[in-house]
Amino acid sequence: MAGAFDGASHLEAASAVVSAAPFTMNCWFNVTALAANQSMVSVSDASAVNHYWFTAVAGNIGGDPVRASAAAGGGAAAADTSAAPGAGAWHMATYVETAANDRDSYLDGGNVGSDATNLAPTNVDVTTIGAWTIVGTQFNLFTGSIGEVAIWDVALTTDELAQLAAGFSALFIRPGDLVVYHPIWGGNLTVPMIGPTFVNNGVTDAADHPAIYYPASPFMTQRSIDPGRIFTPTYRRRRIA
Amino acid sequence: MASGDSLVQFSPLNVESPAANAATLDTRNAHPVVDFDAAANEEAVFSGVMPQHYAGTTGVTVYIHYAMSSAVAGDIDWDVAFERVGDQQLDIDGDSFAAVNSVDNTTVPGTTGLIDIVSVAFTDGADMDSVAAGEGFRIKVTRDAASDTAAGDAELRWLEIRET
Repeated sequence: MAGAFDGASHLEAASAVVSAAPFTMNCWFNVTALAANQSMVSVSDASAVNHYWFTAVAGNIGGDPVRASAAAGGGAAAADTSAAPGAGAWHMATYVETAANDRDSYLDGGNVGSDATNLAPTNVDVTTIGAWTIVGTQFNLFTGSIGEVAIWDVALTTDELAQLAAGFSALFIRPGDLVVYHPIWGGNLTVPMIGPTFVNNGVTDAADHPAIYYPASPFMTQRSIDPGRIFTPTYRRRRIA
Repeated sequence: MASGDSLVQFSPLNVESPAANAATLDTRNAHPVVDFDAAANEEAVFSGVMPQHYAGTTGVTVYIHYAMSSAVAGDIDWDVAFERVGDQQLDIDGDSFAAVNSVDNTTVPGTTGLIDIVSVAFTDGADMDSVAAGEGFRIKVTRDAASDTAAGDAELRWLEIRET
């Protein structure tokens, strides 16, 4: 099942899986309450003050949007969705960074909000799920469940986001450009299907997972058996005197 | 295998989207489907291994199971093509689909949720890019939207290859 985050836990990989635009961050989340700024996925400079990209439920601002935020050593800029997620239900958040001055935030594949502030974080070196890591500390810790985390090193299109929002696995969408795919199921919290290993800092196995369609193999038929050639065992009748 | 016996069946969960003009995944009442636009010729690609029991004599027939998203009138055109991968036959760095065979001018169902099944026959040999039993292959399905008249998306639900 997905990862359960309690407001103090997070998963962290000491690797920046992307270092510049373009990229796309995507995850499914079920937030417990629309309160405070709660980061789902981030890539940042773990030691600096303000070099990061993150997607979060911004319960700390009016409208409770899903926020795609960036900072490059100074003030942050953000794209906010035009709608809020409902607490206690699964939703999909997407951050598309098409260029340093072109970022979009999506909720459930739509409700887009945009920002054109030119910000190019540098020296990013950590990927965090359930929080945002700067100056050696995690901030904006998430409370609820997160699953199906995926990061591509390309900017996905709205058609592609619609497929993800319909419940199809990230493996269907430009799999050659996936740099992280961590479904977080089956109790596996640390080893993604694609990407670096995460260190688990208190995350537990959640009770449920978003409903996702995964790739499958085609059905190959088998040679039919001619009924006349089926081996039928026979038994010698035992004579009883 | 006897004529009409099923060889391979594909669902939307087997789709391998091409880099361009890809038909897109969608759901309809929790049925996974592949949506083909009415405004552009979009493609879906599936891959498999031709079963060892393919006789290699009469060819195959491809059955397309589809519904329309909204159209209840007009016609639809489908193109199908095979690509043999085989044993040291194809450098998979490039595509090599054979010429398409088509089923055209099929009147779409009068109810949008009804699945219609149409078929496209291929003779054994070059017509199906000489795919033989035990060889890997790809099959590409294209809605010829430039030529058909039905409006809205066509939703592919299954694809079946049978011995002809």
